[in-house]
Amino acid sequence: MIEYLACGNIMSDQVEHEDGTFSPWHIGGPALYALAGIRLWTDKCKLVTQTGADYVETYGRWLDENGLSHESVLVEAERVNRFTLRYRPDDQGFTYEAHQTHEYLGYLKTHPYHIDAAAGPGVKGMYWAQNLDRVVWQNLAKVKEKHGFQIMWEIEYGGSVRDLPREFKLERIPEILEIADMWSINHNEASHLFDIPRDEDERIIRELMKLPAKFTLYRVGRRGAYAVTKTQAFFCPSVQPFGASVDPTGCGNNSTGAALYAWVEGYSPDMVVAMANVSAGYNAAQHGPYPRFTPEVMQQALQLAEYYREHAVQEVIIRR
Amino acid sequence: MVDYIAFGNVMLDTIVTADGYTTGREYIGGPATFAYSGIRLWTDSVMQSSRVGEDYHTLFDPWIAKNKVITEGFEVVVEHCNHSYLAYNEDGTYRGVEEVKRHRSDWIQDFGYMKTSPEQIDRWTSGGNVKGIYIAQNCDLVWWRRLKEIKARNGFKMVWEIEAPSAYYEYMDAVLYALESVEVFSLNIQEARTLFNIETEEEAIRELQRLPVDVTIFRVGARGLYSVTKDEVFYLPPAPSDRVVDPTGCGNTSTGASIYAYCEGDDPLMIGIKANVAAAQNVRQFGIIPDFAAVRESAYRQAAELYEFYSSRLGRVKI
Repeated sequence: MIEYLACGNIMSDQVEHEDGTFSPWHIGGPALYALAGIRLWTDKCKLVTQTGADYVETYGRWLDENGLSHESVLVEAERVNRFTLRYRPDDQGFTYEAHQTHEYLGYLKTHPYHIDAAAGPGVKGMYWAQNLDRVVWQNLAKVKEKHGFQIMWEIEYGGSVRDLPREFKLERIPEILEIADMWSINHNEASHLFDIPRDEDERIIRELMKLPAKFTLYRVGRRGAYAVTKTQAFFCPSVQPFGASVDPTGCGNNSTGAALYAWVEGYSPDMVVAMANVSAGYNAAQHGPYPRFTPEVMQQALQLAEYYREHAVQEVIIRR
Repeated sequence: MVDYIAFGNVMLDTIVTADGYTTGREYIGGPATFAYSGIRLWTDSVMQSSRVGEDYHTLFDPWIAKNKVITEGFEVVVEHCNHSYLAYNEDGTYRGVEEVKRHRSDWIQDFGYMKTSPEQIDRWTSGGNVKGIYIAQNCDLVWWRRLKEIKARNGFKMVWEIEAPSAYYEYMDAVLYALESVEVFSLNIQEARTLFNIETEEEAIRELQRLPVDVTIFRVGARGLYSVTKDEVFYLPPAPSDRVVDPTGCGNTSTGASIYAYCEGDDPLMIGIKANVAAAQNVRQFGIIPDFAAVRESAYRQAAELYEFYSSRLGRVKI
């Protein structure tokens, strides 16, 4: 029985390196990376997406390799979205070039009714990356009420949200967090949102604690991530199970998916952030998501997360 | 249950005319609404199916109430409709004005989010009682494959107004595939030029006559339109109008009217005439036709007069 839904767009990426060379094309997109983040811990998960018919040869193969259903993958167009990413220096994220139009991206975006159709009686939690549109959230709230799952929201902070007035965002985000149970934001986004330098973790976390989220995954790039609740914050450094990162693309989505699983399963916040970072570590080990999650890989990941929780995660005292 | 459905996007338009006049307020627009208007001019048995922003109410509600518009097909999926700012050029073409702030900076993505899916068309046409539908659409093969299945099952006729980005020669195979499901095709002169890699209207008509559709409404801007079939071509200058205010949506409006006329059994000349008469009503004001009951009788009368005039005096254009 499916317990977790990874909802939203999938999109294939290539990375343009500083020397002008390109990585190979690889599968990706927020929902796919989040799914991989969940899949490291459970196979009771599925992808909920609208995409192009050509997904079968690449995404389809990966889903099959990992024993995951195609049942909520809706083929609505010819091609999967494609993006070329160019990473900025200093952990400042990336710029991108879209190979299809933004209209195309919007056409393939997941609607709440897709999630309604995908959710079965056993679903405990869902992930999606979404903007601040009130109507979209109200429609999702009805689906949540019907099915009773928890929602992990990764804020879309690209063009749509970044340009909105700060006051609007600070008013709207708490409204959304009355619907979403938990959310995920990175340090560049939080710095912009709160107008606080991004290396001032404590000040930013203090602002995050004021929001009505049960749980926040606060991602600080290469440094790692924090698990933030109303009363506690735990820092976990980034995890590199296979050596230096090959490609950070999708690590935020991936760790957010893992945090959804861990939080809903009742792990303590320090373990949640350890599991999130372990997922991101597996994700960064190659272009695209980790290729095959075997029972052995899952067991090793759990042991690694337990090790990190015990030896690396630290509670950070946030002065009020 | 209605006979006709106009599917697609809604826009709220602010217009800047070629001489610099700006409306200073928004008007109801968008391909589906204009097409609805072009059908509603002739019959009450029509509805619009559109995904909209919840702010559509402000402009739509008074118009809906006045005209008793069926509202079941409006599905609120986001906060804001697409708000467009159209600046007309001297030659009658227009451009969007990028520097004008929309309600959301990702409005183009929202345009896609609100686009009609084949599933919507299936939902509203199932049962087999819908005679005809309108849609402005690209030439995505998957979309058209699904539409083809739905159309075979639900049995309606359709007019396709091709979206400009699909009207390029490189997409010809996909366009031809889409046209297998289409009875009436609609495009303008700019789209014809890029679709066929041609320049003149004559060249375009020659290409259009080869297409596997019953009728093409070939729109040539202020010069009117051609109603094109395999065997005949009628050139029809714009229907007379008591005032010319704003051409926005005339192509959508005339295209909507064409599927009504086609499904009601009109011949290609009358299809073109009704398309032109609808456009003549649309051009009389900013936005859509405000009161259908007030102009329907005169529209029918004008169409009958023009039909008599053209069928007796105007020869077919030989290509």
